[in-house]
Amino acid sequence: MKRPTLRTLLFAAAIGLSASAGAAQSLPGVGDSRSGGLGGLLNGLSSFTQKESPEEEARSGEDIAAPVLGAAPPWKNAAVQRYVNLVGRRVADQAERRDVAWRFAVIDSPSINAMAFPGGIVVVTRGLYALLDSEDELAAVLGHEIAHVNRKHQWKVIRQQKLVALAEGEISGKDASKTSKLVADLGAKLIARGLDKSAEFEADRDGAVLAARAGYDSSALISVMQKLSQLKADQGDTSLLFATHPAPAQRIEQLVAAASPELEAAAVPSPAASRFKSVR
Amino acid sequence: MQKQSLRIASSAALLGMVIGLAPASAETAKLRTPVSLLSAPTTSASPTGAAKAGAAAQILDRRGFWARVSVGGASGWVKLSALSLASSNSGREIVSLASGRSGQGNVVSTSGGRGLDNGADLTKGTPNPAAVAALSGLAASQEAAERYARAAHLATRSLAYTSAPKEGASQ
Repeated sequence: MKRPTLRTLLFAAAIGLSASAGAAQSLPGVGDSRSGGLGGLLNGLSSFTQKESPEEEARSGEDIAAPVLGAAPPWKNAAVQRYVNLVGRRVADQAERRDVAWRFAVIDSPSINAMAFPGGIVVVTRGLYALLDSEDELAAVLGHEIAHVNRKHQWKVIRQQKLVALAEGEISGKDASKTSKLVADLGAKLIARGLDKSAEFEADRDGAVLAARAGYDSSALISVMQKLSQLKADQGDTSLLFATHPAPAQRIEQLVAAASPELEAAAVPSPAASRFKSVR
Repeated sequence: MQKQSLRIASSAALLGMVIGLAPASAETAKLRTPVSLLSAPTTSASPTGAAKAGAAAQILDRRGFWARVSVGGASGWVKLSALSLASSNSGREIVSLASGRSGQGNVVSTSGGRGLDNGADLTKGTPNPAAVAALSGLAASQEAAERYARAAHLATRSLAYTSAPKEGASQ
């Protein structure tokens, strides 16, 4: 009974309403909450006032990425790994954040997907990489993921849930391994559930801009979406991708509806487009 | 097996890029607004015809944010934003199949246990922190990335972010 109420309050606080610990003390029923008392709650609430740090974000991203790389390690192809890091870094340097250590990898999974982790780890599955035909398309895919990190889409959700767990005494903040495990679990759930649609559309819009800023074709994401929409059920595993992202056609519609004349003018194949095929 | 079917998918898609939007059966879309069909994918091109809102258009080709369509015997280029694609696209059916819902809600979501196979298993591996740590060794520096971009004559552009289209703009 009390938990949902507490959760609701904490979420409200986490969204940035700056609840002070003092105000929280007057909340009814706080003392006998499941958290193990006022201490746990205050401990959690006090962390709302703590400024989040890039280090905390990076550590969390690594905790979430660890089981993913356990399931699908980086593809043993040094040339491709080097390539995605060069292209990815070029696109990422067009983003605003400077407190991120960008790391890119193609992971050895046949499923068709790409993922971003808080702190700047971006992975593309081998299945998706095999669908691409140009450096412009690669930049478009990476741009979408970079945009998620640049806007902290995943991190905002994870941190909010982590703070709730702290407040409820599920974790203490002192036991690092328990915190890592919890963050990894929260991350796995978020990967399976997906972000809000609006965050995906935003990452599409931002990603196209970032890729175009880097000199790539601003419409390359449309090519990738076309390929995804034309895939038949037996042409690679897209179940997670399509379960967690809006339909490709809808993404194309949203992207083109938002495009500025400047973005449209950047819809030309880049001089680097064909380099993709020479990397093996 | 998997790899082979991917390669087939990939070459089919590549073929699609060369000959048009859809490789086998041309994709259809509906016009959102009345349009002029243009002789080239640019607003300054001369009109070759016109079509009414609601008309069914066959998509023949795409270039950037433009599509070449055939509508009632006439053909020409229109802005992609003039086309309603979602109702005519297989992506949506794939989504409903994968997630067990039709995608009406705000959050794109699954029930958690249904329809997910090895894609979702990606989160269920034994944590491999060493592989995560090794990613730093692959990372490229800003300078290296710049050099690589310059080698292909990639030039940066100054571009502002775009905002979400107004509600209903693409419904």
